[in-house]
Amino acid sequence: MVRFEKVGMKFRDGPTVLEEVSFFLQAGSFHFLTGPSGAGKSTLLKIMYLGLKPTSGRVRLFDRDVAGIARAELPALRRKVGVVFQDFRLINHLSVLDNVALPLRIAGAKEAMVRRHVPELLDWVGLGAHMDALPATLSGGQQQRVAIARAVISRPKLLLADEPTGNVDDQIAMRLLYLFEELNRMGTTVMIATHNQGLVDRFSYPQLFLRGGRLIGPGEDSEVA
Amino acid sequence: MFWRRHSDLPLRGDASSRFLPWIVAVMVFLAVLAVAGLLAAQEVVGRWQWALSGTLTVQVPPPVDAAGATNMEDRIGKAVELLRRTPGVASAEALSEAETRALLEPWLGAGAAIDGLPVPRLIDVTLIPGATVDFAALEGRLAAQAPGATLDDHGRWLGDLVRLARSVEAVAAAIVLLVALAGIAAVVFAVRTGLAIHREVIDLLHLIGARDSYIAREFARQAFTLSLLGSLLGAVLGGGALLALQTIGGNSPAGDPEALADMLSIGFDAREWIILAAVPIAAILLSVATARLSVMRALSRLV
Repeated sequence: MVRFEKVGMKFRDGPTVLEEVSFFLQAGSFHFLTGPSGAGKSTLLKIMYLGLKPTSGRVRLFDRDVAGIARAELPALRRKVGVVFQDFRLINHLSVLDNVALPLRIAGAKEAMVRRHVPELLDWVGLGAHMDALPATLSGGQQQRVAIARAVISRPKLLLADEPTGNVDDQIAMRLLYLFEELNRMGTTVMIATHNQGLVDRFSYPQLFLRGGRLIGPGEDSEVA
Repeated sequence: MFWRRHSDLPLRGDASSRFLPWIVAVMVFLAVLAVAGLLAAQEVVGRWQWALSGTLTVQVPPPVDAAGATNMEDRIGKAVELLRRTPGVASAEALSEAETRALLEPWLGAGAAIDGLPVPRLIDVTLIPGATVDFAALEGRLAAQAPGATLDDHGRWLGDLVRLARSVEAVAAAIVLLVALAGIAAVVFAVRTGLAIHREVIDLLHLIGARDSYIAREFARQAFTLSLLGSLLGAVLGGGALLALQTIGGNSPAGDPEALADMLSIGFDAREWIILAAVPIAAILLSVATARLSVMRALSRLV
């Protein structure tokens, strides 16, 4: 599903963010990506969701070498990846419903399908009463749930979440993680970046630990499954 | 709740978009007037050619002495006789002295005494449509019957007028082209500004899997809405201006079909109104195509 081989990332005139990162994620696996703030978790996820090109090394996604993917092929690959961004990245002038419906509409789904699935999912994440609300009128936790609903609405093959439980209480956090588990059981490969070690410890899923841009501990230069 | 779907990009509130309808309105207004000028010039040339190509004027000069004066009517009669016998001539009528006086009235005034002036006499000749007449040979024969008589087929005058009208056509076409280019530039500017303002949302749409064409469609839709508004306004103003011009032209002393005012007046038929109505539609299509192509081009440069 995802293979990193000695991947490095250095922004122009900036520090090296990732260095020689290698790992392999099997299809259908569930992983936590942990590490302190600034360790490179978000950058690693960005490379995985094709938002950045690494400056060195090789990345394979869905059995394709990312470096050899033509620009015109990117949309189709990106539709297989659901992303929960750390800063949510909701579109402020769109309602909660329209934000969540975005991946479906972009993929050309019929409006009837949108009408069926989006309210159902919003009910599930506890936002059924806020479908017409604008993101700015919601709390941080509610916005985060909208972002999660948007990431999972199209049943992606790979789900990447950057601190998805950062703004919610423990009860909601657990509920969201159960949602991710549910998706994982249905075949979605999941990687969740978080520095909430307490939450991670409640689950028995493998962890990738990043520090200073390097992968440390379990999974380093080895297959993680 | 489902029917209130908004555009994914909040383009409606952009400052650059706010002025686009007004710019398009001015462009369409100018283009409608320029195309109307183009059509009017073509129509006027056609009318001039139609009115003048089938006619000739024979000019018989005044006698140089008193003896010749008695022969004037005789010379005119012979010339008219010759002309009527000429194959291809439908009719030949000599203008009476009163008619000649009426022709000179605009320049000399109503009470001018022209009896003492050496005024030539004119013969108005109408040709059979499609007939070929050897003007040089006819002029030679006329000179034998009425010495000094000259034949004017209006060719040089008509040629000058046609050249003038063609110049007007060229200027009108250039104005249409410039207006179109200015309109394209305005749309490109609005689109580039929109792309810069909404870069973050566009990046997000890309990451969710949107193709460039999806984003371009958003801009094209916005360009359609704005250019539709502007085109309607421009078309109403342009159409109103043309109707006003037509009304003014219709009120001119144009009852006489030979009057110059009638030859210069503008009046559009159904085909020409359809062409004029196509101007705002073309403006909308141009705006939409420009927006789409600009976005596609700009996005293709992104990683």
